Parts: sequence; C-alpha cells; structure tokens
Amino acid sequence: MHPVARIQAFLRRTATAFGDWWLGPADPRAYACLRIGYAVAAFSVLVDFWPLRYTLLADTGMFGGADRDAPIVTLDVFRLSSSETAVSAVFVIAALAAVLLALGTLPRLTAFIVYVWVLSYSDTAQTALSGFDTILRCVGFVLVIGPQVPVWSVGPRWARGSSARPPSYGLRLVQWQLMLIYVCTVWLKAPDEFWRRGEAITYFMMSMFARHPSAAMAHHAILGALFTYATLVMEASIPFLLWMRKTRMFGVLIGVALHLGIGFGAKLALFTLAMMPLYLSFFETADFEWVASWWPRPVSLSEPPGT
Amino acid sequence: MKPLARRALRIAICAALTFHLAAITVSNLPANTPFGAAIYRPFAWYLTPTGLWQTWDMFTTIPHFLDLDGKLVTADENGVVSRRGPLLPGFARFARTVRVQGTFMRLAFSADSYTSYTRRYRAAICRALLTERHGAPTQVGFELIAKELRSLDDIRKDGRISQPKTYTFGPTPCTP
Repeated sequence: MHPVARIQAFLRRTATAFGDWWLGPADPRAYACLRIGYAVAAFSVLVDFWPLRYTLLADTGMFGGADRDAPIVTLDVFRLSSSETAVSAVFVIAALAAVLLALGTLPRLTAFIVYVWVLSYSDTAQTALSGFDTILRCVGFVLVIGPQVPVWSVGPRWARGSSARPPSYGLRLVQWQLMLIYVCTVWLKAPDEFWRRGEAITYFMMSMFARHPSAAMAHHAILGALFTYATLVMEASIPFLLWMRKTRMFGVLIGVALHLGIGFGAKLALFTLAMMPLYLSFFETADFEWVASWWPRPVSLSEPPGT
Repeated sequence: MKPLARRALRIAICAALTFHLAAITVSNLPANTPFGAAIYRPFAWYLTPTGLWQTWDMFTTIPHFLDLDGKLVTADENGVVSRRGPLLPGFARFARTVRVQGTFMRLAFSADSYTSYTRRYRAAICRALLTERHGAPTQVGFELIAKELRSLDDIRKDGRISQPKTYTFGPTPCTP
C-alpha cells in the first residue's frame, strides 16, 4: 500500500474510533444509575441546606440575598426574588424535581430544575460552597444535555426518557470529570509537606472535619503515614483502574472503600454521596452482568428444585 | 438524513464534546503556568454561564482548626459591649456546619477574594442592628474563636490537640 494511503487509512480508523468512543452505544442502565444516584445526592444536599436557606440566600440573611449589582453571569433564580417565601418555594420545587428525577419521570425537565437550583445557590452563596456542590453542578449539566433512558423509570411512557439505546457521550463526560477530580487533587496534594511526610490524615482526624477528633492518632505515626500514603495511592490509581475493563471492579472497590472511609470518618458524607454516581458511569453491560451474577436468583415456585 | 449531513453532524457533535473536555480540563490548570491566565480565555464564555468552573483543591494541605465558633461584638452609644450570634436573620448562633464554617473562614482569611460578600455582610448586620435599636448608632465587630491544631510533637507530649486563638475583626461603626 502507498504510504500516503496507509496514513489516510490510519487517520480514517482513528477518526472512526474517536467518533465511536463518543457516540457508540452504552448500556442504558449506566445512565439510569447515574440519574438515580445524582438525584439522591442532590436531595441529600438540599435537606442539609434547608436550615441555612434564609441565612445564605434570602434577603433577610447574611448577604441580603443575591448581589443584584454584580453582572449577570449565569442562571440565578434568587436574583428574581430573595424573599424567604421565594427561597423556600425554590427549595420545595427543587426537592420535588429531585424525587421525580430519581423516579425517571420527565427526567430532562427535572434534571434541568435541579441543575438551575444548584447554579442559583452557587452564584448567590459562593462563600458557602464545597466540593460536592461543584460535582452537582458539573454532573447536573451533563444530565441536562445527555441522553435520557426509560430504564428504571416510573410514570407514563411519554414522561420517561426515550433513548432506549443511548450513545455513550454523557457517560464519557462524567468519566472524564471523575478522572479530573482525582488527578487534580493528587497533583495539588503531592507537593505539600504534610502529605509528603505522611502526617496529613493524622492532622485531618484531629480536625473539625473529623467525626470524632482524637489525639490517639498522634501516637500512631505509622498508622497515620499508612493512611496518608494509601489515600494518595488510591486517588492516583482509581481513574486508571476504572478505565480498564479488567481492573474496573477493583477500582470501584477501592473507590467505595475510600469514600465510605471519608463518609464515616469525616463530616463529609455529602461528598461521598455526590461522588458515588460518578463511578457508575464506567459500568458496561458486562459489569452489570457481573454484579447481577452475585445477586441471589429468585426461586420460582413453579419449578421444583434441581430442574 | 443524507450520509454527508449525518457525517457532518457527527463531526460537529464530537467537536463540541471535545471542547467540553478541553474546557473543564483547562479550568483546572494553575494560573502560574507559562501559558498564564490567557489559557482560560477561549473557554470562559462556556465555563462561567454553565457553572462548570472547578478546582479540586480540597484538603491539599492539613486543616488548621479543631473547632471554630463566631460571635458578633456590638457596642452601643454608651460603650456597653455585648456578644451575640453572627447569623441572620435573628442574630442566630454560629452553626458548626461545613457551609457556615467555610463561609466564615473565607470571609476571615480570604477576604480579598470575597470583597462583595464582606461588604454585604457588614451592611446586612448594620441594617439589622439599626432596625432593632430604632436607628441608634452602634459599633460592630466580629470574633472568630478558634481551637487551633498544635503540632504533632506538642500533642504527643501532653495529649492536647489544640490551643485557643481568637481572631478579631473590626469594630466598624453602624450609622443610619
């Protein structure tokens, strides 16, 4: 084959593979898992935020509501009204939307409502934001633009997602997002002297973020160093383990262990809840089948045992 | 749809999705690279309205406090000082939640990045005080009462995790 023709063929193959990476078929259950997990996380964040909604968002609160003198840069419904009634109404609507999103009823509309709620409080109360808010914003955007599937949905057919064989792009965006979170956090942590010395988790477990701060960790330097280095190793390896089919379940396992550790050991359960759905975006048909194979099969009453 | 149009649509969709990945990736680059802040410019129009801006700098170093509390310190025209909760509405007590503690840490230690919030908080507090005191002038300050983590060596000596430290801000006059 002529060298130019070979290069052309290679480029054509690469372009096709790139297109398939984005638009090839995905398992609709992965989208359903992502949608349900996101809705649960958003609802939990809302419940946590509820007691502070006037303090941080209303015109009777700490900042007098949204800053109406600032230029409009994003959708912020609290700019329209920051009265206590309006703020409560927005929260109730967002809560209802999160529940319907979990049920898969009008998924795009309800995802949009939840996303706008997150955008709005993020714009109004920037001082009060945390990592889980950023995850809700970024994944919420993907849910709005991504395929909506009818799998694991309730309600009339017209109100469910219509994409029975969805393309992969929504999952790819979330997969990349997860990879960025871990790669960036390791990049920023690794040069820090406390992370390098293996003391970061020891200090963390004595801080206001720990569920039960105790001086005991200070007396177990080796244990603290092990936790610190293990955290870095897990955060550095999880995205790569998840990308590869053979190591995916191992990646899920250590990711779940890491985030359950954070959820139970620290006052950051919302971060754990927000991160978990991102893992499900990596699931392919074979992974669902593998998980299903561990599930006990229902015993059929019409079938005698041993048939 | 004709094959050519279908192919063009496929290319356009892939290009848009790749742009999204590039945008969220670049938003994580530090501003002090040789590219400078100019590297954010092609993506700012997309990242800002969609809320996709992001940094993943949580716990990139150790936390500094075991506990944080906050109080407003008001002084009336006779110099009588009183302490009360810093949260509005109603001068509610400081809440030990991630959102409230995060808010006051940013207002106290990163005020330059949140000037609008500092100004609006002061204005809201003054408004509430003046309403409560029927317009009588007053002064208001803020105390951030921290339990600061000690070094590991010191903790190992006596088992005490923290030492008290109070950060004082203000006072500022509130006038009608």
